[in-house]
Amino acid sequence: MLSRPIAVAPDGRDWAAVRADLSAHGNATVYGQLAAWQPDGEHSPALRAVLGRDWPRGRVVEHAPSRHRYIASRLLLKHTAAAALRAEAADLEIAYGLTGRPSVRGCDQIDISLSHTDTLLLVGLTSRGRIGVDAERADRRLYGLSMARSICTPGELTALDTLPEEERNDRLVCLWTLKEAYTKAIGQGLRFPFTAFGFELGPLPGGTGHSECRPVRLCRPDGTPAGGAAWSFRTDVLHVGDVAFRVSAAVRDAGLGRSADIDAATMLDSEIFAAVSEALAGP
Amino acid sequence: MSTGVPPKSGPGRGVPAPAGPHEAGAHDCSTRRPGATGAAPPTSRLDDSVRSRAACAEALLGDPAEPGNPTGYQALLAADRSAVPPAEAEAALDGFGINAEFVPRELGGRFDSAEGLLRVLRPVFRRDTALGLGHGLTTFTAASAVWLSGSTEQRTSLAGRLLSGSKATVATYETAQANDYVRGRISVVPGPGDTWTATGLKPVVINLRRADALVLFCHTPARHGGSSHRALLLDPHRLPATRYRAIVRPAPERAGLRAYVGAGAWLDDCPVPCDALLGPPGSGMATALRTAHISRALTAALVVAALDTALRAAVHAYCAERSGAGRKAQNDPGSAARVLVGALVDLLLYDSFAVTTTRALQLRPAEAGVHAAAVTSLMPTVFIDTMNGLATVLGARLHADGGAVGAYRKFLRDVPLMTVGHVGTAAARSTLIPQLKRLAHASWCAWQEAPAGLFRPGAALPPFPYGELALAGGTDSLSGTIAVAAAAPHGRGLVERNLHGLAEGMTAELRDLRTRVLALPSPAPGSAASPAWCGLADRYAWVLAAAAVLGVWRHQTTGFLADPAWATLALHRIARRLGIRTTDPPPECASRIHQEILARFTERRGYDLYATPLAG
Repeated sequence: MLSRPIAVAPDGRDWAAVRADLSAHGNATVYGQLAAWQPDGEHSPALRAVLGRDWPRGRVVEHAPSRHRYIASRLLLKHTAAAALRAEAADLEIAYGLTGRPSVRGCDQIDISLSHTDTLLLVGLTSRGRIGVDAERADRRLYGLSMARSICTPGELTALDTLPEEERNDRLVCLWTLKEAYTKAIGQGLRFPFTAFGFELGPLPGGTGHSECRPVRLCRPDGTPAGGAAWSFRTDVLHVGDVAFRVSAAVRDAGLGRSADIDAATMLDSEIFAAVSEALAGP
Repeated sequence: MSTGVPPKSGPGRGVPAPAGPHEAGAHDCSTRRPGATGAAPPTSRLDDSVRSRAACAEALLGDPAEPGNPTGYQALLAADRSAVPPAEAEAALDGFGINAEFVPRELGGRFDSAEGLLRVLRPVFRRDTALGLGHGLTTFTAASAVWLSGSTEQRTSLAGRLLSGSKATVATYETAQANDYVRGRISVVPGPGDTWTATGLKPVVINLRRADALVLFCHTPARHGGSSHRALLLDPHRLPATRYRAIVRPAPERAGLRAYVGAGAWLDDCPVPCDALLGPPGSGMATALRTAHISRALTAALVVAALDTALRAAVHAYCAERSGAGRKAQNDPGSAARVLVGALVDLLLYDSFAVTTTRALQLRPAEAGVHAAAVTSLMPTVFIDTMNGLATVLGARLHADGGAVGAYRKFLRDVPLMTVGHVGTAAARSTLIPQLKRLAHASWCAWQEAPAGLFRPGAALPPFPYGELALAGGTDSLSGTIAVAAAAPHGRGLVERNLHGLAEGMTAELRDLRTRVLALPSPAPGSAASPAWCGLADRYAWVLAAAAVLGVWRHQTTGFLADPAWATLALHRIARRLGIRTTDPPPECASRIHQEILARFTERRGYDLYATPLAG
């Protein structure tokens, strides 16, 4: 089961809930507002220490809005990872894979994913395998722009056609974010053809109080179930200020079961460490 | 359990006979011995060279894609769906005398090098990781603990049992942040007289119900120091039924390795005779860690076989699309070609490191543990990233249940379990990190290249140095290769000059690492600085991988591996993973790799360093 996104602010009061979700479900998704995560000054030594090798370089430096977004999103990412690991953000290095996928270098007990759009910053974490998250403004216009055929499988197009006209754009935004989340979880993003896999969305559960959280199932292009038992999905609508965002997450469980402990402080095995140190001290 | 059914098709099934000065007199690999389990291995029928034995294993297993092949994908995937071991494939391996590959030559077997074993096991792992682990590597890992620390009687007795078809298994220590596959502790205390008693539950012990020998790593009542660990060598069939049980649990439907992980060991004040103690008092952890050097090197090298099959499946899809069968597919063929090039380069990069590490067990036994830990720590990244990249080429074919794509999906599920995920990398880093300060002082500013033999796959090796395989040596000559490569003349063409620049970049990275490692407070479990140490250990592992690539390239004089194209792309990919800014590699590098991908596919040769002929 994937957890409902949790709002977090830089003051740190919300991290206990994030750790509780990780402990109970092996995953957590957090979101923050761009304005809240922008630092007051961009040149403080403390900010430079936290960002470390993520200090803005190259073209991102020149364009102020891009730089602000870059810094705020990395701050949220590093502070979220640090909270999950009970570590100092400045001690973590974010590594980027060859497709740009982020991870915490040397700390593979968690996997992370980052998305940002408009005023929303979104981070997903899992201790079970790989995660991808994606966010879009819920009112982003996709339907009617000839995009459906490049996003949807034949099965999804058929399902889309059965919906009332006014629901179709929302369905398309929902599918788009789910597909982004799935392909980000496998580190490929748009490189993976979106028409090579699909989703079947169940009906809205009654009385849950969670807006727009539908059951989601992975399908083949023809609409038959893809048997992806290792995968879990979740899609929600979040309201931040007066803007609604569609937010989706995908997690692939590696099948190794639960790890009760993911703290950075306990990841070195004390017995191995002692034996190696003793051997080096040697006679 | 093994039926020993003879194969349907004829000798070799398309595999060319091995050639070479020492391999004349080709053997007949086509006949599986009926009822092979329990029978003596047919050593007399085998040409003794490693290359010949590896080719024999490949020929025996046959074309994996052939629908009627009892040891092909269809049969292997069907057995997996039923959560049972693939009986015919196991019988074929028994007929080959696979267990003799695990027993040192001086004890009557054929084992004389870890590299030789990896070459013989690669055909198995190319088809099915679970089979390779359950009917191969697990027995060897358990046996290695006995070859390393057992008495003459224990070694002789286990060798005899393995040569008569027995399996062995091992229950390792529970290490930090354990998951469901490594959880559980067994403790052992002195019992009446000179006996001991063992108590505890280890929920997952691979192949336990079929094993005649169990190596059990236990804790003692001593809380600290060397005496807090003991290793035992038990015959589970001789333990009292009221005190020992193999706890059987049905494998969950989607669980990986499901035919082999269905049982765990339960012991309750179970009496253990004193001749079951493995090694002198206090040697349990040393035995476990020295065994881990061997099993880590081999596991890394064998995961390459899974990537080999995955790459071949993607190349097959790519060629089908190019030939027009799938022209409607929206995959951009240029992008697919780039993915394939990246996959082969990463495979060769990782194989360079894995094979170098495997050879280091014999050529540099004091430092092999450092390399084994480092190569292990990179495995999840290399494996998952390569598999996921290839998924973009497979596209909608990814949903197919059978054939090589079915095997691809099974690898994706099984390999993370074989390497036990984060627990495996955390244990490896726990071996590596205490040595980093000493390595930084002693080795990272050395200008001495590692011995050339380390980088020559298949070259002769000295006898396996059981006594010299150090728990921790605190030295590393592999990284010295980078400085030597960077100091060499700039090279002839554009590609070599690019490679030289990348080697200089790696030298700078090693220098920076040295500064950072020496500046950090000494590492300790529980320390707040642990993530910083783990980050540096990861960077160091990538630098070692670059050193292995440079070494393999520098020490070849002919053939594809002597071409700087692959090494240039490999170092470029490592540099990008480390966030080192580089210029784009010359475009001819990718063209050269692309050409090699298609040539090996057409000629049915493996994608690893050895490029050996395949049965399919």
